[in-house]
Amino acid sequence: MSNLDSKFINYKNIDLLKRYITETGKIVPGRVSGVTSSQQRKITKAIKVARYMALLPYTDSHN
Amino acid sequence: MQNYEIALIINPDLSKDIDKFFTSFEKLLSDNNFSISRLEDVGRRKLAYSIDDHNKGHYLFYYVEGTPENVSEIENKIKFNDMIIRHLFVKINNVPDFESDLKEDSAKDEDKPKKATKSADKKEETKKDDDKKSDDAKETADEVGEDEKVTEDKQAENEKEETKDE
Repeated sequence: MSNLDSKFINYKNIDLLKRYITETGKIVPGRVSGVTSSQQRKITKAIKVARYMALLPYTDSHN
Repeated sequence: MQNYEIALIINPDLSKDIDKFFTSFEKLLSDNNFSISRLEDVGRRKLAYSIDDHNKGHYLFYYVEGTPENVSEIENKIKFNDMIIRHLFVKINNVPDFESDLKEDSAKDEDKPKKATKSADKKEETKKDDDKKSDDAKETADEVGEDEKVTEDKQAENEKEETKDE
């Protein structure tokens, strides 16, 4: 699917990571998004770091 | 000598005194034998959730080169600094040349809500019936969307059950 994304999977690249979370903020499973397993591991790690740095939400009900 | 990326979120109320922070932090880095390769000042940005009752934060990214023993010393001093509300140290191989697309155009954000409220007021005064019809249409559309989401969740659950059975 996304061969070039392996270079740019970074916790600051929110435009890419937003595609792999649901509307409630959950991480989309790999078999639904159709991403390779190594890319899925990098994406989950990046999403968790971005959540710590307040670039992505943990949930949709923070307020 | 390792390359590190230091990500900082600074208290937004103090972002006017940023120059004082720059000098103090750069002195802290140079005292511990770190050389600054690059600094990226993203500026104020809306946070995804509130930290210490702040909804916005000032983001900074320092790209730095130094030894691993000195990293813990800097971390200890950052923890007791009231200006910094979040920090993150990452080990990297190469300093990136491109800028991260995290900058928010604050001018655009300020203009958009004003225009939206003015247009909304005019619509409410002139066309009340149309608003009612559009609200009904929106409600049906939302219901359709919810049904689709529910079916998707059920399909996911069914798939899980099937895999477990297998």
